Amino acid sequence: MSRLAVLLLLLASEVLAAPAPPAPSIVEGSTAEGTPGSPLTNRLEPGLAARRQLRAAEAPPLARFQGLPPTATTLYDNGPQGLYDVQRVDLDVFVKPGENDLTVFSTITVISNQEALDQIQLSYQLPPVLWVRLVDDTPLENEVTGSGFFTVVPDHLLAAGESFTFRMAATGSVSCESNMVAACEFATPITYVTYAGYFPENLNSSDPFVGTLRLAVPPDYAAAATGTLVSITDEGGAHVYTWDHTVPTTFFSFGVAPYQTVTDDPSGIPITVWSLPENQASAAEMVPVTDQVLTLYGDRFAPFPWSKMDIVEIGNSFGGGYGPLSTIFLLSWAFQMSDHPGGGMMNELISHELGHQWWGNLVSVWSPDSVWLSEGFAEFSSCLFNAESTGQRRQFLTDGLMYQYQVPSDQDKPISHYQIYLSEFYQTIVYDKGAFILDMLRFELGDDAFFAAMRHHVSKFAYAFAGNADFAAAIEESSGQDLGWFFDQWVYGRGYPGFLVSATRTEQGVSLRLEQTQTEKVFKMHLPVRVLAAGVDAAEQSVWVDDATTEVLVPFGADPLLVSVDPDRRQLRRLTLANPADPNLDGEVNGLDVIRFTTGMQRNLVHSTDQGDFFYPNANYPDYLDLAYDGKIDQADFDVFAAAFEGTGP
Amino acid sequence: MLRPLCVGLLLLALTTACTVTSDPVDPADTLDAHVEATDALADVPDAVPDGRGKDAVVADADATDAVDTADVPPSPTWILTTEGAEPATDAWVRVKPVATDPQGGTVTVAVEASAFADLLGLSFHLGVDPARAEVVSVTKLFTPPETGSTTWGLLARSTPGSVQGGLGLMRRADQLFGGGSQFTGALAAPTALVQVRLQVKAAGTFDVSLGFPDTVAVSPDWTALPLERVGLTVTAAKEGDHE
Repeated sequence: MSRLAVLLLLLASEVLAAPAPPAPSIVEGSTAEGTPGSPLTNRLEPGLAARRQLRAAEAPPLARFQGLPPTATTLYDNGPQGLYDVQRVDLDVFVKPGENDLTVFSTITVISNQEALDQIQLSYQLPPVLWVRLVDDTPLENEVTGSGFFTVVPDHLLAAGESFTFRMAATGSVSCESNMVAACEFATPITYVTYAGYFPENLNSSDPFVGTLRLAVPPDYAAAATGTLVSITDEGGAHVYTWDHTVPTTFFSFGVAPYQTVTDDPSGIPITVWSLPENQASAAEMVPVTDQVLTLYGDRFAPFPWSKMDIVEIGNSFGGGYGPLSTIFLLSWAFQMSDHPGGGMMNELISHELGHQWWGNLVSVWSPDSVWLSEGFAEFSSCLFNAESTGQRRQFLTDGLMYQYQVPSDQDKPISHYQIYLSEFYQTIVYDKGAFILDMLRFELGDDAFFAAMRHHVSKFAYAFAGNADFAAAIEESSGQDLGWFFDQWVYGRGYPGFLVSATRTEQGVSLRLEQTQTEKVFKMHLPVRVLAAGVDAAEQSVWVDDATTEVLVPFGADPLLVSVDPDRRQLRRLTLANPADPNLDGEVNGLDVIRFTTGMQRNLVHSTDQGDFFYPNANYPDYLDLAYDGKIDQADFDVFAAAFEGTGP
Repeated sequence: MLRPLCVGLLLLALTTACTVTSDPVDPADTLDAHVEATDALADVPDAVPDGRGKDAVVADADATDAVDTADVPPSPTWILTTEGAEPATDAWVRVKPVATDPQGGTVTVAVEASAFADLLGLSFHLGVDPARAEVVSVTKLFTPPETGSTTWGLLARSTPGSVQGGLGLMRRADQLFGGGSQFTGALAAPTALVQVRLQVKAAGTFDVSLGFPDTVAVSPDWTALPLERVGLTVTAAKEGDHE
């Protein structure tokens, strides 16, 4: 009888005083790969980052696995070093579905990084500890503090490089509200637990480990978890699931529910969706979407790095979802989004979390100043999928407008700020602006050079940690360009430029004047200028802006209908009309301006309802018509325009 | 993580938001406020139910007919005649005579456009020789063919020698979720845009022309639609000079 089977019996009789039997042997011979790395996720992430107080220098570039298969000991080995490294964690967990009552047996192996190490301190949110012992059952001194720390005192001082293994048992309830680095929900029909905070975790949360998760659940329930499922056995009247984590991870996560599955491998990658029975239709829709997303990312970034992809439905206990390695967890909401008039939200969510298979997992992040390399890149990936599948850059534009309109300038921070996770606008800056920054880099380099550079970055930092300097170096190496100005401006700096735009008609064309209105610094960028004229093809030129004022002549072969600055919104910028009566920027006030203004109306960012105002960006929002800059192009703006046009204004 | 909790809430809220904000707003309550009848003509009846605007005179007139001076009461001051060509194509903008006031020495003309099924807007530029006549008033007339379904704006600015204006059309139903590209603006045929009253200053003949390049119809992709421009000739003579 295995320890879990014994545990079942013990729990049934509510007797837990006796020590558990020896830990089960680890499943041998697993060749499957796949398990979580170090995802950095929304609500979870600030707390995680908060514990990463150490801001060390960027890890040096590291050539990775050129033609060699990676092994566990060489994966993610360029992260920060603590007093010790956790090498292996094996967990046996008994779950009563719907009840906040976890019972966990843990076996933990660490290696000391210093001489005479006298204690091992772990992060810990577990239920009360029953005991801590050596593998031979010798009790060890230990202490759990109220601040989420758990200290184990070895039976001797550990030498540098010495391996030390101990076991512990705990049982009881946990708080899902007090721990910002974890998420859990003990509800019917889904019990969901994630993050190592509920299990012993290295204080250095960027120190990944390998291990095994075993989960015992009642026979009418199913379990899904990070890792690679290697066996399901019946023990003591329960189903016992075993997942191997052969690629280093920083946490285990699982869900227990009456799941049903949909499985397919349309492009050779096994895809399984675990959902409640009522969401099977949505689950079936997710399979081809997942396949399309993985195919796109595999083409643009690097081949899909894991052996399978699981999608697991969890309760609506926090944000949209999160994406550990080879298994992503999505809220039940995500399974109910497909019919929403917002359309595509399910796809946005899935494609973002799948983006983490490359960003945050394959290439991991440990420093809080580089978190956008995970979240911003995952959001960029999602925007890319949206653009490729719809032919429109709607999600990119939406993200850019979210940042521009939602973040007050006095509360803006550089995306690389080491405490960006404390910002009220953390998500808007890191996710939305992050995605747009990467897209501006793409615009600067062009698609071919950009994606080549991204592939170069992945090849350097696959199965490793990367920071801002690593990324910048990889991009410059691949592109051959000096892009220091770009990273200084967008990654290490904050804000975005405003341009006061005026147009004057000359015999040669339209003379455009672009005057930067922000005072903090002068931005540099290429601004496309497009001319549409009767009877001729559209003409576009790229204007390099690197001074406080830029004047450019826009020639045209016929009288222009419309002159547009950055019409496709490739840059973060705000445009303001110097002459509100000339929104078509042809240097003349005529009926074309009426057409330009009127047809730009009603595409609001702010939508007023009986319940208040809601912000939802419209991708086609011509913000230079928002004369009041209040998120609406409405009657008040038209009034200003009309007064200027008809000459009745001030 | 793509979106936090608030986005989920936002989605739910937007269901309501869509319902509320998509509630049609009568353009007459919004942009129509700009339609300032700066100098409405006394002889222009109110809007007719076919949506062609309130210019029944324009709507019912034969576009090819010049104003018959025989119908005009004898004027002690001016004899005014107008002549205009008939549009030869399906897509046109023209200047059409509406009325003359020999006693007041004024000619009223309308700028009128033919039907367009798919239109972003129409820009027009009416010009006269200011030495012989000048613009004294402009009345905007447009009534959308589908009240409540189209956002529209009509503005006009005048100088003594010209009237420049534009009509912009946009469907309202595409406001949310990144829409805005499906324009279904349409003009009922023929649609009057403005009436312009010209004060005759000197005897002789002058053209009321639709100038290039500012008179143009614009398609949803901002290209110029082929458009015939038809003007008008006004002949003014003093009564005593008339034979």
